[in-house]
Amino acid sequence: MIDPKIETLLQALATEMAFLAPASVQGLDAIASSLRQLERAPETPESPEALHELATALALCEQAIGASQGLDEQQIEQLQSSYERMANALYLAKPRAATEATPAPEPAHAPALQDDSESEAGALGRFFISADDDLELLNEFCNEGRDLLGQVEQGVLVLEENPRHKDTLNQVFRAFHTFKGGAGFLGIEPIQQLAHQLESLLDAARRDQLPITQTVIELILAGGDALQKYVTEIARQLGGEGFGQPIQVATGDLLRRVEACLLGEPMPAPAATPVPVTAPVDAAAATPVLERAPVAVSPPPPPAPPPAPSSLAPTPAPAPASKASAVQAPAAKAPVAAAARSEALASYVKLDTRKLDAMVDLMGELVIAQSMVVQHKLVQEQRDRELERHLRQLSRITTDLQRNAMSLRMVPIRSAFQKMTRLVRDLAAAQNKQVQLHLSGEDTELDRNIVEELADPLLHMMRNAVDHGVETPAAREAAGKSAQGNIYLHAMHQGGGILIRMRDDGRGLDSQRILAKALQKGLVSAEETLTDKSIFNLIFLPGFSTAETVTDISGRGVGMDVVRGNISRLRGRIDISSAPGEGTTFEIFLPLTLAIIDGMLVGVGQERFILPTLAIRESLRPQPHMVSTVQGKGEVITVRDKLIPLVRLSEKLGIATEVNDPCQGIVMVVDSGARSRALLVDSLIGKQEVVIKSLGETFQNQQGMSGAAILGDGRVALIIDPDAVSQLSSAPALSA
Amino acid sequence: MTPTLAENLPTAGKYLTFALAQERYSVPVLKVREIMRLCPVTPVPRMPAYIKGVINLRGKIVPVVDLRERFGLGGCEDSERICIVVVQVDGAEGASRLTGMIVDVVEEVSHFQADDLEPPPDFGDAIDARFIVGMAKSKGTVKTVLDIDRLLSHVGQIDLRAISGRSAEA
Repeated sequence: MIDPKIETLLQALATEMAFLAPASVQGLDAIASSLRQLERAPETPESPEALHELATALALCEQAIGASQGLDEQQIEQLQSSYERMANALYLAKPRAATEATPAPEPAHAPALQDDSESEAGALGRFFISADDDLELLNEFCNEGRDLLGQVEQGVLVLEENPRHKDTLNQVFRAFHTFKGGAGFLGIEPIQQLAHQLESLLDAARRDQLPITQTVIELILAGGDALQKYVTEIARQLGGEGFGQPIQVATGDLLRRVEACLLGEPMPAPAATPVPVTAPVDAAAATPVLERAPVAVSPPPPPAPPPAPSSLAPTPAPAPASKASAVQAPAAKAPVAAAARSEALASYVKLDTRKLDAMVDLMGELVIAQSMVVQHKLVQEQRDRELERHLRQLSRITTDLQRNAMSLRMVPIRSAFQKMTRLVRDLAAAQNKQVQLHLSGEDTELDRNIVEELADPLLHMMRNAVDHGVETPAAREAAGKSAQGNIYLHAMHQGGGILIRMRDDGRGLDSQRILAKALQKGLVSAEETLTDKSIFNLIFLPGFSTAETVTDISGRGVGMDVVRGNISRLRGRIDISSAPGEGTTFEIFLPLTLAIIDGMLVGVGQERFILPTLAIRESLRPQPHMVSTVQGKGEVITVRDKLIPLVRLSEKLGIATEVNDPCQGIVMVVDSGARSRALLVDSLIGKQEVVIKSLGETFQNQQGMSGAAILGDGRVALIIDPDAVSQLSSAPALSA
Repeated sequence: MTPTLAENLPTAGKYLTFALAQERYSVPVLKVREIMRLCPVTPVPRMPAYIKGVINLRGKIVPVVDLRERFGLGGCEDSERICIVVVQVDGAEGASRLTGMIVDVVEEVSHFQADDLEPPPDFGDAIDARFIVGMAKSKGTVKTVLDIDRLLSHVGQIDLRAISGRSAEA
């Protein structure tokens, strides 16, 4: 059994040696460095003979490099035989973990060496990643980490010029803070600890408690480098290389220096002459080698001390045996898993979203231009097979391209969902409730902006569910339910949009209590008779809260109206259903993206408008008996025993139309806030997906339109905001 | 009229001249992005009459202003020569955007010497001269040089009453 990493090194050595030419230094550097790596590698089996040969070979190389005249043939032979003996010894030796139980006799100069390196490099921060970890999160951490470290580096460059630049200090501080947060979330303690120290350093600096001197800057850079090493190593292992090996970076010295710096003490004598801006680990590992080299030429060479990491790691290192198994176990399955993993973990490019938007815009143009060509009458008259084929091909590519462009903005909803896990746990613990959150459909993709905007509403709803929905364990048991409450958060595609369903199995909404509260607050009048559904909808009104006591979690009555506001801003809608004792279900319907909407093209007079399909409940042509006029309240239309106020779009928008009788037109029933409204239009032209464009600041004061879209014929149609348009007063006829 | 106007005296350079009814107006040619034929304009409801609506300019939604309406010159007759002059307007916050102006006829691009340009005369209260930076005498005619940024940057927010009912006869 020999570690694959050692084997690779040995093979590389053999190749390099085969190309050695007498009296030439070419290749010697490579051999020397491979030998050093071999000496340093924690996996190198403990074999006195091998180490002796290794040292001999290394000394030979270094001597030749030092003299810069290369080896003669005899020396090359000597080197090769050293190598062979070493390789044999290594192949024969047992893996280190087993031999470590019987420690090798301490070499005479070892203590000195050890002291030396300890004062230089100090402790090593090390940890493992294993297949149990969330590899995707780790990958994300790496990607993010690289960005953050980039920011740190940029920031430090600015700080060197201008040490008091507040914004930059804050930026670097935040970068470390975020880094710490990420590491903490993943439970990578060494990184967290280091990032924390660096964060404190910058915190002191931005509070003006610590001047930014060259030393501090070097500390920040060294810290950044150490973090970079961690990130690189994690990324390398995620890529399938040496998966499961310990990840270690010498951080002890760095941590001590940062601490000393914070306390205002002089630097603990940095052993290596200049402060090592490069990674401390290199200094640590390289020094013993260099020092020992001259000693080792003289026979008999003492068995070299075990490679640095194992003897120097004071971090609560796992017992050697368990460490070895941790290395070995995943290593066995690593090659197989690794291939699949490196495929699954895609790399990312950060892009300016404006570029994406521009691309989506252009795609829209392309689609329109393409349909203009295809529908051109000259083209339509052609009966040429080949042309038809080409046109089909063109439209297929255009469609694919468009779908692709749209998908660029799409991200899985996962990130928004995962935040909830922690939240629910903390909330439940704070209230002595037992709540289990079940997530499903996290891979459902939707527009990035929507995912971000969704975070707040989800937070509010989740708080409400834990606070008001789920009962205490005692109450649950009394009601014959299990002590543990459940909240189900589910996302799925539905009808061209996305449906997010949040269901709890708590006590459900108490319609009587909501009604009483609404009456008390004057939100409804006592004469109104309301269905359960409309009563539930009352909780979306501003200032409504039924919690008897205001906790720090919820109950201030700012939750649900914010939720509805956010969701309608995203052009979505929210529904509630609830049964006493069985729980409450919220359903949020959202469009897949903010850039495109699924719209109904309607005609009013000479004009065409687009109504967002998501807002439309139903559309129908009213029968005469359905329409009635109410004095003072205008027209209402009865749809399935529900009275819905009728809104004439032509009146609201000031457009002359010939359709004055509602029975000649089409009525679109839309949700406007908690109430429904029926918009009267002349005709229904069709259903179409359109790219939303802003009307620009010229029209920032207009109401009723949420944007514009370009139709297939190249003309512009305005998109109606059903909520706002019903609030408008009637407009004077537009003079065309 | 006021010192600020004198300071804003138009500089010599190339100007695009267009006609509105019997009048000639000029804008710096560097402001002009495009001149296109009148195409169908989608009206935006509940806007002042001089805002004709929006058009699709290669995927961009561009508002269109009817300058005749804007200056109270009455509606325009249908003509083959009616154009939309798309200009770049620099807003107050440094943001620039495109706006289309409907004009009767685009006439020419000509070079105005510094000697040709004069500050606007004092019209008294007769007309709103806020959008006039100067007058240019060229080839025997007088052209009004417009301050496009002022004229169009607050389109849609300007109080219509300030200009309605007055004529811009020079």
